[in-house]
Amino acid sequence: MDEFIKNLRLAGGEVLEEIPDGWYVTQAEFGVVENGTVWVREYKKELFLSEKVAVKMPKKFVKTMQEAMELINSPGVFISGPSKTADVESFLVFGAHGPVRFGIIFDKGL
Amino acid sequence: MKIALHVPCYINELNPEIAKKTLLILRHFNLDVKVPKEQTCCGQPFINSGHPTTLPQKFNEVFKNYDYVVSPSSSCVSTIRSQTLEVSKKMFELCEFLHDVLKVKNIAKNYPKKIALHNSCHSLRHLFEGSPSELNIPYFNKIKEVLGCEIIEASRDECCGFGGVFSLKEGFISYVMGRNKLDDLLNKNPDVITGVDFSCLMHLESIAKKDGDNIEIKHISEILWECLDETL
Amino acid sequence: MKHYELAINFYKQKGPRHDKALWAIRQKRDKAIKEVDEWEELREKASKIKDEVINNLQDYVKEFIKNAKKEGIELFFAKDAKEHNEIVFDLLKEINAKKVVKSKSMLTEECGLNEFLEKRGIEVIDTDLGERIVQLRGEKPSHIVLPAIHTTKEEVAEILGESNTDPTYLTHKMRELLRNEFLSADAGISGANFLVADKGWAVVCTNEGNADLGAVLPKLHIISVGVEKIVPSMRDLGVFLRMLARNATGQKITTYTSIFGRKENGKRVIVLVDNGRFERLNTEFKETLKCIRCSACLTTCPVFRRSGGHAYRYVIPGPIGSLLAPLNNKEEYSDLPFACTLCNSCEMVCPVKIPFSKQLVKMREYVTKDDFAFKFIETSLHSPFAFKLFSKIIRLTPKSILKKALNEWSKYKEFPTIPPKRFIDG
Repeated sequence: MDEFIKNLRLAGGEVLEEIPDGWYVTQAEFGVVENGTVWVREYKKELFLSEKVAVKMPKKFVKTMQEAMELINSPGVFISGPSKTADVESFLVFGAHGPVRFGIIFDKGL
Repeated sequence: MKIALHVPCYINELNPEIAKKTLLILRHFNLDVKVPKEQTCCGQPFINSGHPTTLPQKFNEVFKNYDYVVSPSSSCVSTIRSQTLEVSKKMFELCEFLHDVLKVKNIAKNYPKKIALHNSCHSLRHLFEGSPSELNIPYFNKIKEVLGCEIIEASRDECCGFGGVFSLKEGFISYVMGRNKLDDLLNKNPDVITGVDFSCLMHLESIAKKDGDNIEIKHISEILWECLDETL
Repeated sequence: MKHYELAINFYKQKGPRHDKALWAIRQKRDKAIKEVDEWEELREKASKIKDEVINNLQDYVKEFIKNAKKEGIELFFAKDAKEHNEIVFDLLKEINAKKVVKSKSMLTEECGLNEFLEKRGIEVIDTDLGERIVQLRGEKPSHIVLPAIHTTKEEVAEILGESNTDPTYLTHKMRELLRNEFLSADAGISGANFLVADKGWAVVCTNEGNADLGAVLPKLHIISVGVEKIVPSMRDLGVFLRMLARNATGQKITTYTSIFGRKENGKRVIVLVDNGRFERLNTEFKETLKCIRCSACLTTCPVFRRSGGHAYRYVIPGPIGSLLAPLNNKEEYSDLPFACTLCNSCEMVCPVKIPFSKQLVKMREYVTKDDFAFKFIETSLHSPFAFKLFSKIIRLTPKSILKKALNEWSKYKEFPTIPPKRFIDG
């Protein structure tokens, strides 16, 4: 889990303790340790239109994208941090088109 | 063990000393080395400029009956190795031969000058005499092992810009790449720049001369022979 | 103008900065791939998967079409660029579309879709920030993943009419402008990085989220994609998803990896494009069909970094472009396979192990016309005696004439001294 959080943060993502006001919240099914990405099945426009997006997720992880593929049985989207670009002189900027901030909240219990 | 010396045509024309030194090095190790007089060119300049050639087949005829063919030029070796000829598997670049076949190392252990090694593309990314930075494989460098002294390497293991026909078609970018390579190496204050490919070294030297850089550039066979020559 | 001339112009204006920026990305890439212990095995796997696909392309196309239809996606097959453009135009005409938001797709560039639609009164807005920058500048992308890598922040500010050159400010300014375009567009067009044959899904990898906005907001989403982008299964997809972003930019994965099936609130259409790909299967250049457009060969190429992508004049520049462009137009692009030192760095970074050096050498032969002088010299060099004769002639030729004959060398470098005696001398 530490490795997952490290990679999530590297991609610009945050770990949230509670759901802050004004964030669009949705559910993720699991995380991928090797790159800090989360699998979100529900593909809604708010995921991309909102300034801030949070996903609730269980403490369920797979090591690699190869393992992740075994769990996917419908379309959806892997998300890794906020939307970003480096198109202006290789300078990394968050909030290219989509969210400026992206966080995860672990489900309580287990 | 029957060994043939391959004298790359451009070395025969432009720096015959390299062929002589390579022969002396091999004979130093008590090897029976022949220099086939019928050899000409491996065909590389034709292949790389897009012209069909049967020179590799001619090369095979000249060299196929030897156990090993040793060449002081990794680009010629890789030209022949990329063909499927009898001689393809028998041909080795000088340092590769010393390392893989004779298993000789540390020849230049006490060399008094600071050596900068230019890892040429054919040596690094075609013959794999070292580990290219692009790959995820453990680091190694056979040429450094053969030399065995402290070696300066460029911070980027990229091409020096010679590229044979490239240097005649894209003189400017060829020059810029060579200039960048020289600056990269000269920043680390070597006394001498060396490498296994005289073609790259000739290109770098032509730039150094034109731009007035004060640096000695010589082929690895010259350094190795300096270390092995007991008459010195 | 040919590559060598355009390269000089570019290098003198922007070369060192461009080289530095791309080398930094190459280093990020090296770091990222070295974190994956099994990287070299992944390359081997990816290469084999792609071999399997291109060797059975017809079957995989059929399988994909069947499954995508089952999934609820409308499918078209276009045999060439013209047919592709017409299919897309008809789809747009049907809904009376006036404005289209497009996210990066090298295929629509290959087909010249923007020009085609604009001539017919449909406004096309490129939405990838880099692509929008080059579109506003009236240029083409100079790199397939970093389309505006050749521009400076001052140039971006200028095109937006801004005086503030801060990258964050400029990026958010563009976001604002483009958000309005997204909300008012009638259709979205994107490419796809992969098509999964056994599921009928399309996979799109982006960082900005522009492809997703274009897919989710308008009623119609068109995916234009080359047939070679098919992978057999999700298991195979996993291999490529581990490699693509790491190899392209040094990220562990792109921000969004979107897997598209049926569109919930409208219609999704996939236009599968051949445009010479099936024909290429029967040539010695078929291995170029393995390319996943990760762009690592551009980024690592020492010539590309110094010449810039526009010197290649083709939609796909760099090493892979030097193989694709002459197949598109032999005469026009005959210089490209020679804009290369055969350093083999491209082959080393290639995630699907395209044998670049061999292919580039073959491409040189493909674009080179028979030349009597070369033939004569080649034949003569079979004989040591003739070689010696040539050597004598060269030694007797005045240096000034040699220098002139090798002008591209002599312009920038000293001419080597030719020693009086050879080692083997007959």
